[in-house]
Amino acid sequence: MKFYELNPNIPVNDSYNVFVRVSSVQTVSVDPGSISVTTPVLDLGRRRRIQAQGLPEGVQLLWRGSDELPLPDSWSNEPGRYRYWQVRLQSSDLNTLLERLEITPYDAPGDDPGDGGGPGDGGPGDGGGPGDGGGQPSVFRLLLRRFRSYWQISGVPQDRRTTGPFRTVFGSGGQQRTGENEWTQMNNEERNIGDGWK
Amino acid sequence: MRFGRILESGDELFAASCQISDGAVILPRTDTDDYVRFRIPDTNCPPLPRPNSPLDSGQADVAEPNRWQVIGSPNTSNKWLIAEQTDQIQLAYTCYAGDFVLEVVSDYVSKTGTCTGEIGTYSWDGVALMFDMAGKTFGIGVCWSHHFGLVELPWGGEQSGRSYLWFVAQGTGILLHATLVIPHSQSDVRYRVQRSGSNIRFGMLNSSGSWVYSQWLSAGTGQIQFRWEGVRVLGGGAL
Repeated sequence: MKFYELNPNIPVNDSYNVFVRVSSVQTVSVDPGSISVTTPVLDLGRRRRIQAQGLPEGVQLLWRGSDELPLPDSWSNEPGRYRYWQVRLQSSDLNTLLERLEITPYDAPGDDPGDGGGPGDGGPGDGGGPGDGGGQPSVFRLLLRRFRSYWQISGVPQDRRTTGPFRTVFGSGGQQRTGENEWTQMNNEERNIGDGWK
Repeated sequence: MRFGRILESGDELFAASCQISDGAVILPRTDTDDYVRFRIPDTNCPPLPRPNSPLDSGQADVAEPNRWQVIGSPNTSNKWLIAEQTDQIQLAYTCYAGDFVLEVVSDYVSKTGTCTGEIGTYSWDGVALMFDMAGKTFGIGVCWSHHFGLVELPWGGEQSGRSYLWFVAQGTGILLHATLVIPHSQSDVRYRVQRSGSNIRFGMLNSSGSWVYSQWLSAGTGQIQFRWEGVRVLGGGAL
């Protein structure tokens, strides 16, 4: 309790203990009028799409993507396939708690997992292979494209590291998981190494 | 990948890697759960959750176990009943990066004890919204006030009743203060704090439903940490 006495020479004998009820506190106006939380730039390792979901429902989601850094200045919310992504959760409701942001990378049917040309993945980039940009490719063609991507990075030398959000790496031997999203070729036995299905 | 809640490998808290805008604050809920909110003190004064009792309803205050720091034992079962002499409720973070207007609904409820004084003396006992800025303590609240031996008695002929009180203090000395009588008939009791640039003023709703403001007070800029705390001002014949 704060105690202030204006004139101590004229005493007031006060032993009150007052009880006060506070019922509500409301901001009538505030500047700035919105808040946001922004993820770091996410490197997916190759060109992928993302699905972003914010909690609670109804909060505004903004995103931007690019295959190169720095990312564009504008938050255009353009759908697409990019290697680098950044997502922002925003609200102008004073009582909203920005609870969570979930980002799920994915490949749509027809997307080539081997493209994107990220440093170190050895891929040739998006070469506009069969099926690119048109309709739904057959399952057989999708399988071919997947295997193509694996064989594109065959001939792996020792100590070659492959990074990405991979759950599985296929190969004839010598690959060892050395990190959360990292696999290292342990010998020169080459053969394919690649992405599993997440 | 997930931000704000750690449920599996690769998830991160907002505080670990995310950037927030001006006017936002990241608060922890548990070791694996945090969230972002406005840097404001808004509340409807619900029963306060205990720290470390994780709740994730998303509802302001109810799901914010670490938002308020409580001293004493205020009764929060029906809004917040704060005792002048023992209780304090303080926000865990600082508020407002810029200009703002804040409005509080609060009223006197009851008292224990006695108060006596010589003719011409005064007392104000209550609970104020306080904050410290630029080496000073600013506050506004609702008090029970006693005016001893005055001829003109402001509460319908009675010597005591409710008053708004705002003040600026430094150390144990009070630099500025003013009061506004709240008639017994006034049921809508609320006060305001307003900042414009580096100045602050206080507002009090009078019995006609109009706002009565203090002068602008130089307070400086910067975020503010609000608290409700008891205040007693004794005016020994100096007014």
